[in-house]
Formats: sequence, structure tokens, C-alpha cells
Amino acid sequence: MSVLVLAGAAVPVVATYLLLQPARRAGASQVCTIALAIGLGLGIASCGFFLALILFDGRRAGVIAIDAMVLLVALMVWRRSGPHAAAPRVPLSASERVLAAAVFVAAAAAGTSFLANALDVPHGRWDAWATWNLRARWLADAGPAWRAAFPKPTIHGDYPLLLPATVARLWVYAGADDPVVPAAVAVAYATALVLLLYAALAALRGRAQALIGALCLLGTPVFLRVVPWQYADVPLAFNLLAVVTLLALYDHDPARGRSMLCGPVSPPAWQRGRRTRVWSWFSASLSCALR
Amino acid sequence: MTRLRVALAAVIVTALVPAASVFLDVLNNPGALRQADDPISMLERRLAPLRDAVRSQGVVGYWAPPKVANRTAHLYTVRYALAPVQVLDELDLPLVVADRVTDAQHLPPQLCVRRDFGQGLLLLEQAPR
Repeated sequence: MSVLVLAGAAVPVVATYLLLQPARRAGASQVCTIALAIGLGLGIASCGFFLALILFDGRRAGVIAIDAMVLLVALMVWRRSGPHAAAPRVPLSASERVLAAAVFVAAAAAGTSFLANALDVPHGRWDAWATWNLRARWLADAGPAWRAAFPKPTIHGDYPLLLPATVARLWVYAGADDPVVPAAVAVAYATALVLLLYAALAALRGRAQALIGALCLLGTPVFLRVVPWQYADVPLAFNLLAVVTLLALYDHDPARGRSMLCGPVSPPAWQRGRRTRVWSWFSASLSCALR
Repeated sequence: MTRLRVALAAVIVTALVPAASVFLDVLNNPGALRQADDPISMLERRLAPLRDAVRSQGVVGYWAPPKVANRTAHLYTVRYALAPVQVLDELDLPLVVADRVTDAQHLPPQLCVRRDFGQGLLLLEQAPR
């Protein structure tokens, strides 16, 4: 992966992290903000790429220009938001240290499992290459003909573009269809999912239960299998967890959670399938009702 | 307190069973952490010259001998390898991609070979009437 691709991946994450600083001030933890910045940042970038497709047929200069504008807006928001109070550091108890060590071992195993599987099937399993990465190739390589990625014989041409647009955007940065990119996107979403689960449980139930939650997720065999398959289930899980987390944080402490309610409205609709759209409308309606 | 510790130990051990399985698999099979030659990458390499040849075409057809196993899966793999060129399962297009052809004498009658890439991979065109 080139430096340009890494920069292309980092810019939206950093921009979203800066945009989430008001939530930090409202009491969201650093881990929660980082997890949301990864998942929502990639989502915002995929929307930006779609805009670049419409305006510039996905040319690299157009994609970079839109990313630069998002970063500029984020910097302006960050400069306007004041500093947040530093959270007091609470030392780990004995049982938390044991749990943290177990989480570290499980994360190392998950990384090893991912590497072995990704080397075995670098293009992912069927759904990944026949649906998501095939569409991503169209969006990245077809130029003005990118709209032909949707009608038949393309399978699931009606599926939304979160995953293909995220991958295609980074392929545009790379200038080639490198199979490392979709694998890296899968890892990013998996990492964000584990971090978000930890952060949500830490805020709602305490650090020990948060470590147990992260450990259970990292110890779930199907999770270890699905990540290298590059299926959309992991990004979908992240977005659904983000919705539930933000609503739960609001419910837990309405005064502090109010500024995070913007989150539930957006992500799953850009993901896949009808049920997800229903869920998205439900969460958007609930957000509005709570406001 | 003891019950809590037993419960915690049970959770940790249960959650780390898949981790132990992963590490044991890698220890027993060190080759698992080496780059494998997966079928899609191999097909992509084989189809690379064909991809260059049809790049300017928006749409091409597809044909494989009737006895080819997993024909549908192969068609989808070809679509992935040649994207963004659209590969339709039709024979009445100006250019048709044919793969796994063992005998070039038994092609559909309306098609003739435009270019032979070897290993059963052909680019076909409509035969003059």
C-alpha cells in the first residue's frame, strides 16, 4: 500500500475525529471517539466519493478535492470547539489486568487468523468479490461509464454503496485494484467494532464488563472468519452497534449524550438491504423523537 | 468472591479457546502464513492479456463449452477479472470471450476465433455471413 493510500484512508478518519470533538467535550471517551471516527469517517468518505463520481466521474483530483474540503470543514469545527476536560486516570484492578491480558492475547490471535485467511483468499469470499469488490472495480476504473455498475447483469445492483465506494475510493488513490485495500477496510471496521463495543460497555457498565465484552467478541469464531471474507456483515454490525450505543448513551445520561444523537441518523441506510433501511428509518425517527 | 473468580476464569478460558486453536493451527502449519496462489488471482493473471485486448469494449459476450463444470461460478469470476468491461452470457455481441475451450473446432457456428491466448482462452468474433 502506498503512502497516498494511507493518507487517503487517514484523512476522513482524522476529519471525523475532529468533527466529533463536541462529543468528546460532552463526555464521550477517547476510545469511543476513535471507534466512531474510523467507522463514520469511512462512511463519510464513501459519500464524498459518490459525490466525486457524480461531479468528476471519480477522477483522482476530484476525489482529493472533496476530501480536502471535508478536512477543512473539520478543522474549522475543531478550532471553534473549546478544549475538553481530561478524564481522570483510574488504575486497573487485579481482575481488570487479567482481563486486559486476555483481550490482548485474543486480539493477537484474531490478527494472526486474519493474516492467514487473507493470504489464503486475498480477494475475500464470494460475496466480497462477486458483489462488493466487483462494484468497486466499476466505480474506480470505469470513468464516465460508472453508472453501468448498477443495471443487470450486475447482481444486487440495488445494494447501497458504503463498502464498494469505500474500497473504490482507496483504489482511486492507489491507481490500481490492489486486493490489500478491501482487506484493510475489513480490518478497520473490525477494529472499530471491537473498540466501540468496549467503549459502549465501559460507559454504561464499567471497564471490567467492557473488557469481557471485547474478549467475547474477539473469541467468537464466526467473527474471526467473517472479517477476512470481507463481507458487509462487519461494517453493518459496526453501524448498528453505533446506533444502539449512541441511543443508549443518550438514555443513560441525556444531558451528556445529547450532542451524540446526530450519529444514529445516518450510517446503515448507506449499507445494504431493505431491512437495514427500515432500521435506519426507525433509528432516525427515534433520534428525532428523543430530541 | 471465589464464585466471581471462578466465573471470570470460565469466561476467559472459553473466550480464549478459539485463540488457542488459531495459534495451534499456525504452529502445526507454518505455511498458513505464506502467500497462497488462490484461484481468482491465477485466473486474473491468465486473463490479463485478454483484459487489455477488450479494454476498449463496453460489453463482450461469454461462451464456455457445455461440459465445463461450475460454469456460472466461472462466468462471475470472468466478470470480476474483466471489470469494468461488462461480460454478458450472450453470443450475439461483436466480441465473445471463450474459456476452457479444449477443441476450437467445436465453437458455436456463428463465431470464429479472433485471437487465441492459449490454455483454452479465446477471443471470438462474429463469423462473416
